[in-house]
Amino acid sequence: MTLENRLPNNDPERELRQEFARLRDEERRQATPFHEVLSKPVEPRPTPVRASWVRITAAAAVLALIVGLTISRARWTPSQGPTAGTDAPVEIVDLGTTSWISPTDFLLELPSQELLEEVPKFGPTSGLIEEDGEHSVDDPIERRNRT
Amino acid sequence: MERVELETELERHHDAAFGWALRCCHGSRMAAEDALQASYLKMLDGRARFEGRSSFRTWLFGVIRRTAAEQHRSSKVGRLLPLYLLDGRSESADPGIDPATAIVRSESTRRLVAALDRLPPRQRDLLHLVFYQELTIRQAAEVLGVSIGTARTHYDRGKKRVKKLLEEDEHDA
Repeated sequence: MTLENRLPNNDPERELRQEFARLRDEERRQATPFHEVLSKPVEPRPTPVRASWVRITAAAAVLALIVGLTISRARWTPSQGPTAGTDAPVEIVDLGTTSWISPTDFLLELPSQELLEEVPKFGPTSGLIEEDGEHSVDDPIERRNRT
Repeated sequence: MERVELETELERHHDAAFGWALRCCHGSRMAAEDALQASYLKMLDGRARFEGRSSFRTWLFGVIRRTAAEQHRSSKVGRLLPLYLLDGRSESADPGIDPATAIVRSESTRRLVAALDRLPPRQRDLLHLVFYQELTIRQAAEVLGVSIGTARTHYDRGKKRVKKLLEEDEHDA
């Protein structure tokens, strides 16, 4: 009795089972016989010793890379700068004697800024005429004497 | 189990084991033969021992699966390491399909194999063990070393997916 006859008609997986049964029959017909598989010349496989040497070499290479990177980073520190260790003369600048003006300082200037920078002057002035046509007197003492 | 007895059992299950090895080696006949031979030698040498905790067939399939995975890993590493190439190993370790020795398939089985190849490995293996090898889901879970719940999930998903792929393929044709 074939598999197709054995399967119930209402089996929802019937088709899938039939497909797999066909695949199995095909592959079994073409299977390499048992004794042929067993007596096949054995492929040389990497020995555990070689495998461990490969691992050790790879680990050593990674370690060397890490050590190299660490040393090269330690040699160059920001405080030393890229010219550290060279014999180039160093120019000393006295900051007390130098001045520097920003080229954009004019933007901070205000209109009539001189009024803010000067102290107002008190005392007699001339040339000012009051509303009643007489010269105004800014000096309060003189004004009191006149009245 | 005595060597002679073991050899008889292996021969009895050889056809099923060949189909499973072929699945584990992605359809490569040469890789399947290598994996099968290595598995048989492991068992006959006593490096893999049947303890009777599961059925003989389940144990055999488990050994084949692990051996095929080991060989696949070593061939991948081998391709990356120049030392391995210098050793004089031939390209026969490559699990690629050799046209001269490839399994000849009919149109319908070719469609099924193509659909299976598009499934995730777990789902593909589960379907093979249940439909092709006619194992129960519990036995398939033992072979794959997963819980029965996980196996059931992969089985259901795989079945739906392969049906859909086959329908799509039929529709396109």
